[in-house]
Amino acid sequence: MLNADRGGWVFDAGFGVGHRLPRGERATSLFRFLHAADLHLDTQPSGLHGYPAEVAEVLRDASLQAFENLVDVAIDRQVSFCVFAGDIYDGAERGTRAELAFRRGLGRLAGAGIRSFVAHGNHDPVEQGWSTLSQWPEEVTVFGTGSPTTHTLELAGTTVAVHGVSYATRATTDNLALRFVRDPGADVQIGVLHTNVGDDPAHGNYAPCSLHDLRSVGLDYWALGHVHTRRVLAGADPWIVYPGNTQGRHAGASERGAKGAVVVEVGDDGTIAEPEFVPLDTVRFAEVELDATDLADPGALLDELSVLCDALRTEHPGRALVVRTTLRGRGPLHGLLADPTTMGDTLAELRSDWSGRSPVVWWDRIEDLTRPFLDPDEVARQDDFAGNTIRAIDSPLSDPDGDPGESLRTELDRLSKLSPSLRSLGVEVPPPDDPELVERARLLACDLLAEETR
Amino acid sequence: MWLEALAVDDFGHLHDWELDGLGPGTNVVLGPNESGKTTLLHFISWLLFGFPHGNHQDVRRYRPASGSFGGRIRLGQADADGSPRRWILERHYGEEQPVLSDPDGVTAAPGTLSGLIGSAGLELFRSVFAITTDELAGFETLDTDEVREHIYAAGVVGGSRSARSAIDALRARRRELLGPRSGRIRELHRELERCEESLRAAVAEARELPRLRERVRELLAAVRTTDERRSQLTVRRDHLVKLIDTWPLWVEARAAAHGIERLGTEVTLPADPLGALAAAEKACRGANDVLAGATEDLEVTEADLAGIVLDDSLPDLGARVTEVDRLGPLLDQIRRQVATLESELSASAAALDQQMDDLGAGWSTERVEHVDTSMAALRSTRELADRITTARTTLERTRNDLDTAQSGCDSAREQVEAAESERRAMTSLLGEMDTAAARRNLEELQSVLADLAQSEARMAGDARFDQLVGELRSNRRSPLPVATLVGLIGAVVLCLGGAGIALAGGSAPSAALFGVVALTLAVLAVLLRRSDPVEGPPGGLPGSADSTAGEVESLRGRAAELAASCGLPSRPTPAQVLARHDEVTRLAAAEDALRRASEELEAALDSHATAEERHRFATGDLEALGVDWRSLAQRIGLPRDVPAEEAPALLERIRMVRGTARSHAAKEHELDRLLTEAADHEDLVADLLRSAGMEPDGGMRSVAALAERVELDRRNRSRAAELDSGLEVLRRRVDEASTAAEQAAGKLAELLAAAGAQSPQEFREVAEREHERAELGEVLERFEQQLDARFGTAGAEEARTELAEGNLEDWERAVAEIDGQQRAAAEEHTAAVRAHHDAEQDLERLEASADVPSASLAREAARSALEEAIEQWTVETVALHAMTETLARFETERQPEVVRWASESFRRTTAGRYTSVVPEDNRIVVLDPTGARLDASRLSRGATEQLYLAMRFGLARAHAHNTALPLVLDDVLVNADPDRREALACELHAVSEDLQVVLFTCHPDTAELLGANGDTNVVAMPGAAIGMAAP
Repeated sequence: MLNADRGGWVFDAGFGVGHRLPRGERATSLFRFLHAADLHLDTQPSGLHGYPAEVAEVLRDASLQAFENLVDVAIDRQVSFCVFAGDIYDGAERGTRAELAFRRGLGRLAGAGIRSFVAHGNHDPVEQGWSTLSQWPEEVTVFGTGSPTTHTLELAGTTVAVHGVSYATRATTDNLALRFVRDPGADVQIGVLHTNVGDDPAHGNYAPCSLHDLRSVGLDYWALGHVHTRRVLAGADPWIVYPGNTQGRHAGASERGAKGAVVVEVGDDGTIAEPEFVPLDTVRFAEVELDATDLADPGALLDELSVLCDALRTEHPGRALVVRTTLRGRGPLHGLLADPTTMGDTLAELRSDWSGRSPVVWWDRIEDLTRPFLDPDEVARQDDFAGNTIRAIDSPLSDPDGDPGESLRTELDRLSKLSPSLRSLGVEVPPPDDPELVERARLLACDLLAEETR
Repeated sequence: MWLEALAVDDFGHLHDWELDGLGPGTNVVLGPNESGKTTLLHFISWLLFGFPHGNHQDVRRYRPASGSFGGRIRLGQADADGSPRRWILERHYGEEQPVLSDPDGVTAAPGTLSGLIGSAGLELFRSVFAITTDELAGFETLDTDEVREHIYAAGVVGGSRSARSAIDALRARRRELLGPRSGRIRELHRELERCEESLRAAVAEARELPRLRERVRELLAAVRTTDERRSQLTVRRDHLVKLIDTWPLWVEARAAAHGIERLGTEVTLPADPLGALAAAEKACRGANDVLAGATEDLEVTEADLAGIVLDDSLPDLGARVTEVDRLGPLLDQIRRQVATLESELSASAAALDQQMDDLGAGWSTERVEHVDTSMAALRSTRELADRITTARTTLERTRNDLDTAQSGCDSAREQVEAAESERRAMTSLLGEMDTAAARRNLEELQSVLADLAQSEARMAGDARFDQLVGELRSNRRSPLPVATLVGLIGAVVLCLGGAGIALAGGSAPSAALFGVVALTLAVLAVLLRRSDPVEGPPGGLPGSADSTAGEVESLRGRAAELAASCGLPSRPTPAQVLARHDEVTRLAAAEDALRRASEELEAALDSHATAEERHRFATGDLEALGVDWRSLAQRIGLPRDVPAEEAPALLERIRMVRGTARSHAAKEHELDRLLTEAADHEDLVADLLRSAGMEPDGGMRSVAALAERVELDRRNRSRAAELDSGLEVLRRRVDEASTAAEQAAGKLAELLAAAGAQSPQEFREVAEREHERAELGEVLERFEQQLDARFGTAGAEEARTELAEGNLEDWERAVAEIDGQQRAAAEEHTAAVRAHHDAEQDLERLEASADVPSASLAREAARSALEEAIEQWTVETVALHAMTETLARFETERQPEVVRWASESFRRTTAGRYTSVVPEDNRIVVLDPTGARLDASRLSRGATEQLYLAMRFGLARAHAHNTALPLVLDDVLVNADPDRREALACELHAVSEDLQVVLFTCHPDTAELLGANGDTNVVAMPGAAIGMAAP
């Protein structure tokens, strides 16, 4: 089962995450609610390939299964209501399967007497796209667009106001936070908004606002969405919380680790305790770093990775794992893995070793950042062929003859001749001066030219 | 910059090792094979540019098990004014930075090392400034293209990995990713396109899903409606059909009711009255038959019993006769066993006798029984026997040792006597003396006599010299001083005259000058007169002659003293001294021999004493063991005189005898037992026959006859008992049959009375009437049941009303109408089901093809794989582009100068056989004097190497403009013929004008060849300091 909170220590045997909550505040708990965002229902993980059918099945259903877990937690924890702060779906088109799953989940919540408040975000704006559903259970409130609307609840003699607003279109760049107004008649006030607080450049700048904007409204809890990493921007007076998304979507840094929602306790004096994170994801993206300095061959590498993977499975019990490993250090393994065939065979062997496990373990890739014995930076300082080559790689688009990289561009243009174009297929072609790419080219040249790298 | 000295702390097999004496220009380091030349090449490389990482194979190779891995290099550098400046570079493995200091220990300013080695790194040094024999040896295994490529690369990138092969490798990898019409990227691109199309189709179809689902729901409702109509028609038709089917029953039931009324009052009879009557009649007849049969059996049995005759004397003998009869076979078996045992006893007695004979005289079976043949006794005996055998062997060996020691003593005594005799002979000649001192004195005497002879000769020479000097002094007269004196006086006069004239002329300074000159000349004349040769003292060099005479006297005294100590005349001849030295030497040798012989005698006596002691101990051990053996023999019951070595075998034999004797006794006992048993059996037979009144001599045949009589009597008695028992049973059967016949007659009378009949015939008529009444009642009952079954309890009453009031023809018409309506409803329903089924199949197909998540997942996977492949292709493209651009630039900017150098060098090396080296289409060709072109790969092995070296020399000189590192070569001249080797030596000298050349070689003639140039430093590797560890 998911989570059995009975006060004091909260320990999730199934998901391995526990948080200590203030015992005193829990003892005087009035009600609790669940705050989730960025469900991106029925979205498929990106950046992965080569996996077998059983892995595909788990990946395909991961976001829906995470939502099912959310409903289980809400019912099990007897929350009074749930708020969903935008990006329920991944695209404006929603998708029948996603909508049906969401309706079924909200129906289960309604059946347990739990109300739901839903705001739409930039991924699922209200006035764009296509939806198969027109009716929701009576206990479901979908916030409208334009100005925030307020809905009040009477919970154990306390009036709770839930304010929220949905995006009309994807390109919503107005500061919606400034449109929220406190309800003078309510005891506890909660705002539901999909926004980029502080104009964080790492995220799309939709409905941007500042912490000051949020504080100035005078609410008690801001249930935010949009940022996939779990963050508490302000602790109390008011609480400003990003719960993160409910299921990781790729192996990037923001999508790794436990994903889920927060359960918020409200005391009988109207105080709000620190939100408790509850993991919900079924597939977890993980990365392990390995110092390969002392590893002599791929066999030793496989042994080390097996040990690390065992540790990961212990750390994330009961979950499918998508693991990416990054190799660092300077050792004999670098020269061996520089051969694409050896690298491919090693990854295939690793995947084979871990196939057929339950829960599924999928080795996404081996990121080889090991260095040759001879540092490319040192080689670049030399006035020989290898040194001149490395320096030429460092600035691939500059040409001492005054023809800045024309021949290289011509060569790279071969990709543009593919039809249909890569852009139309959504394939990103990295620029030749991309730092990571340049570094890989330097290492490749070193491996091929410098004797001492072996 | 140049190398001056190397100091290795620990590096490979070199330990605490130094090499000094290198300088700018040409240097040759001469050392034998395996002395560490290649090791030094690595040492120089790593000291200058740093150690590779710890996992590098060369580091693992050269890293010592202990010690300080590294060392120092003294470097020279020319200052701006050309004066040399020295630095000491120290570097050890594991230290982050080297230490560069001047000879006084002052650390150099930061950046000084970079100034010394320029921008060079290890890779540059290896590829440009270091040339090894491996590079040249590698030509043996290269094919034509590879040779061509190596020669070409030598003039562009140096001796490292080939740039062109790296470029070719990269191109091949890129082709695998993106060829003109194939490659992984194209495959993945097509795959992504397919996935994209699938996804689009799935999304479009997914939009159709809700409409189709609604259609399926509508069709399902239509199916249910038609099905319901069909059901209603069926229900009505079924009801009418049931009425029609029930009509005949209804008619039959009405007739039955009339029949019951006609039969009148009902009489109560048994369930099967005719059967009951028949059974009662049959029971009466059966009981009478049984009574007659039982009476007849009783009479027959009583007659049989009266006919049996019995003998009352036999039953008591029965058990004994049976028992004795069984003894017959047993008795036969005992007799056969007795015969077998008697035969075995005879054989074992003979074996026992034989074994007793083997033991020897004095042994009996009683005595044998008193010997302890237990395993412990046998083990003790064996151990003692082994110890006695060992002790005997030891005693024998010690006896041999003693004999050997005795002969050693005798031999040593003889040697002592011989040495003593020799010494006495020499002593009688020379007297008692200290031979060592005498030999020293004699050797000194030889030296003194030689010095004396030299001194006396010198003294004679001095005397002759003095004589010659005397003669010279007496004859000497020289006119030159007089003329000089006259000249000086004349000059004085002239000067005085000059002074007077000057004074008269009023020139005082001139007068003074003339005066001074005159005075000077006058003083000179006086001095010359005073130093004019005069007669010296007689004797020329009196001090030298005196010392020589003294020395001679001293030597003569010393010689006399030494001669006296050796018993020689005061001035012995060298021959005498030599003869006496030989005699003293013989005496010393005799004394040494005597001393050695005495020592050997002493050692031999010690050995003899030791051997004697061991012999005594061995004898004692053997005697003690003898005592032990006698004690043991007595304890286990063997004769004391039995040798211990034979005792184990004797014990084994005794064990065997004892076993045989015991086996014999056991058989005898068994024979006695069998004979006793046979006699007992025969007594039993005789007693039995006597009890039966028969002759006891009849034996077992009489017993058999008696047994037959007993058996016949037993069977008669059994038959009589059986008949007696049957008689009782038959009497009870007669009584029972009589009672049963009476009861059957009573029951028949009761049955007739119940029906009011006087006879069985009358009873049958009553029964037939009641049977008809029952059948009519069943018809009515069956009708009611059918009515309930067909119409249900609730509908039965209504159906009865319909049957009473209805019309069969009307019902049949209504059924025909319903049949028509049903056919129409069935067709309608089938059409609805088919439409629903088709729609459901469409829905399933659409749901399968509209699996957007799966299609999306597949599209994402294909996109990711394609992006990864494109990234890799871009990386390889960037690297390839940089390589080709750099290679082109090198060929344009650097190769011409390198080729010019190489061309001149190769022309000189080949003495003009090849005149020029030319780059052409990524290869090197050489021209001969006629202008003919020859590809580098077509040259002979030697010429190939020389061309390679020419290219490398050229490359090094080209680099020397910016980076003047030493050119370090490992025996690269070894494969050249003498002429070309000489030419190559000249080329090295030419190269050394631009940068230091250090050639390691194991060939002294190479060192000599290069050393012929006076400016070459030839340094031998200090092999004595090389550690013992193998490389």
